[in-house]
Amino acid sequence: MTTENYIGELEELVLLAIMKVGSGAYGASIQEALEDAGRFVSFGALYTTLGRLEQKGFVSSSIGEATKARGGRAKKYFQVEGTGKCAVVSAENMRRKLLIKPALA
Amino acid sequence: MLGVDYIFYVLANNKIESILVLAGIIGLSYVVGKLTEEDAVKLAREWFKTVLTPTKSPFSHHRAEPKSRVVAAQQPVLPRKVEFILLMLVSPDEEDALIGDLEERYFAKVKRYGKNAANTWLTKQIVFSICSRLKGVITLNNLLAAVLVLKKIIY
Repeated sequence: MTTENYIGELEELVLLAIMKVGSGAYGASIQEALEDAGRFVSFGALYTTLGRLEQKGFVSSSIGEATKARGGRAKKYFQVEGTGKCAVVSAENMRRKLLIKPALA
Repeated sequence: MLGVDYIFYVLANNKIESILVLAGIIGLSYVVGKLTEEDAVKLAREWFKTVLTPTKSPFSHHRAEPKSRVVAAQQPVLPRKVEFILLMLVSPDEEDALIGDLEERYFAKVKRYGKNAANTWLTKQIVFSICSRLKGVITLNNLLAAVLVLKKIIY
């Protein structure tokens, strides 16, 4: 795992949440998924994380439609890119390696 | 005043920092005598009107047509102060998405749990959002730079 595709804990959770929600993942649905999983994340922190992930190239975004429930404001959809998926898998592998070793000792 | 709009645009990308910078510039110009009191007040008002008023923000590229805002007005709206605080926290590109998301979830909470619980949730969101934003601003480098600048000013 190189420094470029290193991800923090919150970044990993956000990536997993986007993958769980699927193609229609946007801020509110991602936050809801995280809350359902038992993790409270403020919108400020969520958007900072999403911005960071976008900068790293792990996610891409597109502007969607505006709805009445949102006061006429457009949604910003997020999608996990291939590099993002790789980063999640690498993080998971690393965790697994570290978990197994103490159990064998 | 040519160039003022550009300065507003550049400063709007880092709102919390820029408010401090602009307050400093206006204050200093007033003290040095480059600005009259009237101009200083006018400049400050212009800043707030242009950048921090949500409906008049020139940076909301993706906002829907005013028609849908009228339809949306039939629903309860987010407290104006909340919108104001959030606008200071996010970059112009994310203004609409973030406030829209917050509004959507807030209404869902109002419907499901009632207004009191929704307001508690909203307050929690604001407090944690401010904390996470400040955490990014107050870095060791920034503090060091501030100490060095202060040291130069004092000695």
